[in-house]
Amino acid sequence: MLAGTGILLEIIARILAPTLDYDRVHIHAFPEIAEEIKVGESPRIMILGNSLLLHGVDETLLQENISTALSRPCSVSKVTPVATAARDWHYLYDTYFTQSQSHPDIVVIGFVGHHLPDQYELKIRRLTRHFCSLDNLGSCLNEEGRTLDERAIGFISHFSALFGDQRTHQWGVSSATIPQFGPGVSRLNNILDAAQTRPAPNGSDDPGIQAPSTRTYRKLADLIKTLKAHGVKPYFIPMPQPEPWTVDPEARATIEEQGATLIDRSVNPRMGRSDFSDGYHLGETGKTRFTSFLASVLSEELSSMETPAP
Amino acid sequence: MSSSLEILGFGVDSSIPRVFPLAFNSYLFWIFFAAVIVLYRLLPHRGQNRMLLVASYVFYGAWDARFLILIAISTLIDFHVAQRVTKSRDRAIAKRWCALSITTNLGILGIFKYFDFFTASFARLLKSLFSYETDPVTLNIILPVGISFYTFQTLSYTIDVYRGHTKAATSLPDFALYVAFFPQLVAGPIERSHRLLPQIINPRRTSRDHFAKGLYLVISGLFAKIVIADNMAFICNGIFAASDDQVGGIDRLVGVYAFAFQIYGDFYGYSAIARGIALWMGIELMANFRMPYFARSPADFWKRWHISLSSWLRDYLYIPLGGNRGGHWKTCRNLMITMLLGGLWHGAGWTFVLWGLYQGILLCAYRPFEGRIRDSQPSIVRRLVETFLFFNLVCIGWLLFRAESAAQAWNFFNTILFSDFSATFLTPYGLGSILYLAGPFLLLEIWLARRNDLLALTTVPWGWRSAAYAYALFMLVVHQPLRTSEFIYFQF
Repeated sequence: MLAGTGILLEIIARILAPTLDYDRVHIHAFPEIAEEIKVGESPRIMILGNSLLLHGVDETLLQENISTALSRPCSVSKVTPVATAARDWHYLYDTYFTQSQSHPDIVVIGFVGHHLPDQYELKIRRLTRHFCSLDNLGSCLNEEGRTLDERAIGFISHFSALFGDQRTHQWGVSSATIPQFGPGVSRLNNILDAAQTRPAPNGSDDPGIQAPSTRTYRKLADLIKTLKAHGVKPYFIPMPQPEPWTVDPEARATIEEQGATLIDRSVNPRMGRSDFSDGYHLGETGKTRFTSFLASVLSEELSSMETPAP
Repeated sequence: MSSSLEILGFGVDSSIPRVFPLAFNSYLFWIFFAAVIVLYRLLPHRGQNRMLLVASYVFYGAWDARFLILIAISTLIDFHVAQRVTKSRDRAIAKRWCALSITTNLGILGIFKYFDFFTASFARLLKSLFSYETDPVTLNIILPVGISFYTFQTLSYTIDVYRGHTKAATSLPDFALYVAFFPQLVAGPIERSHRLLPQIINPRRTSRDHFAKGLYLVISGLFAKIVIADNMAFICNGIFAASDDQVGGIDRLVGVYAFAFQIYGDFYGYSAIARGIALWMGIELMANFRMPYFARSPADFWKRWHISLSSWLRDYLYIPLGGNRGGHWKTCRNLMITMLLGGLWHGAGWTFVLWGLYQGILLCAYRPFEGRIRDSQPSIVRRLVETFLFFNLVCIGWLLFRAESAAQAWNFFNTILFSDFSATFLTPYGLGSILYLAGPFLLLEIWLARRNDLLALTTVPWGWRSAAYAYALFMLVVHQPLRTSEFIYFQF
């Protein structure tokens, strides 16, 4: 009986999975994006990141601006699952693009400080369910699971939509049954995070996680190595924020040592508070300004390349 | 200042994880238990006991193997003391042996649990009374998980042997298993030797009935821990961590209610799972809870809440102090001493002492009316009113229990009752969560109370049971805690 209930819940979860929310719709479209990259016009540009780039880049405008600047067509794809970071992108790229042998010419990765270090708080269910394949599941669980429990959850989540998408189901059911669930959880999370936070000694951009001296960037280095091994040129671009912030020197050094390019002009274009929709993500005006800025930077970079990658 | 205990290796070491790795709500535990139960089925009785002993030490050692030494010391001393007491024809000599056991066990408990608390408190007292600054001698050692539980369990054994209530164990491994039996080692129930020891010594049988009852206990325990306690912990921890300008008085009241369900779900959950898995091995542990929030008076509450501790305190402290013999004031004195020490048993902190004091006052204050409350047959409305009133009195106790300090408890008490009657959206969120997550469990308890059978669900037709288990499974899968938290009683 218990097994029957479990199977029934799993079937329902699998039926709901592709359309649970816009993010799942986007994730389920990754294989199509990989196919599009295969046949896309060169230079093929992939925008890789999270909600910062989802809301911060207009891919049509970017494509138009670069095509105009280069006087030749190009293709732009956005791979921007929300609430992800370098630790996710490494597996995501391997699963959807390396394994299908579908590589762009350049990958632009947008980030703020806490997206690059290994200390980023992973969502193991989501990682193994959506960004891992059977080929890299073992290494993922080995490297990312801190405890046997996390590994067990990650393993089950890879095969079970019910476990993998549990947070989304929980959110949906609780929002329907508990008044003020969303605002309540958000408020209490903020209170608990603030209670746990120790002030960062050097006033870094993200006081919520460890100070830069304790940050490591092994997964970032792995991501760059994977990209470069397939002839992809990686660009890292710090995303504008309402308050000025600087890239951790350790992250900068890792990016440069691995032969990637850091477009460290985060002060340009200078954004006002009105350019942000919620104090973190870019709004409509910010999106247009940032896309134009990105297009000009990429056009310069692409022009300076002697020959585009095949 | 480093102490000899630190040098011996009991010092606080940040490299050792403080999370109990084999907690019942971990996957690792269930892998461990699957291996144990397979071996259990394959082995004869003696082999089962030896295997369970090894498994129990592995279970405890997975947290911190160094503290197995303490269990071994308690086990060896109490085993040999009981032998000596039995063999001794002279009561005075038997009493001395018994005193050795009590001194050793309470000595270990005192050093590992209370030494730093008392020296630090004494230093603060000197400073406040005489402005005398002193650097208190602290041992800076880790509190061994479950030390209060197994210490009380072994203490009860030697005292019962001395009193002639139980026979001394003749097999050291069997007695060692009685002390360390893993389902109840770190958070009880505190089993008496006359109940548990015979079940260990004699061959056991398991039946379909054991499996069905065990399954119910495990599922209800996991539900209480994961669905209720851990989700309530998120609300309670958030509200207790909030500053005055972030929450209103009514939000704080909801935070205290959330803690009431957290601690109940947490502790009931642990006890129920412990009973369930023990039943699967043919061992029946005592019920530790009987719908405590339906109590209408403190005496009623303590017959329903943490029954193994309250009965221990009654039998080994309250009654030897004189119990209710000797008039009202002596009875109150005995109640106050018992509850103060009961409070201190929970933790080395002044909030626990205050909690014990509060429980003692409640017992004394209700004492003149206890008989009337117990014997009355009130209407449903009156029963509801009395139950709700007493639940709120229990919650005042939980406020003392949960607060980081007496000052925080007072601040909460003051804002809730006197100074701030405002509420934010956390109030509907908190109350809604309590209703949605804990409400169905309380409804089940109402039904169990009417049937007067804690395991009544195991006797209903298959369809109803299936529906209840399917609901529990759905809730367990979907409503995983937003942030995980350990079993509260591990720290005791």
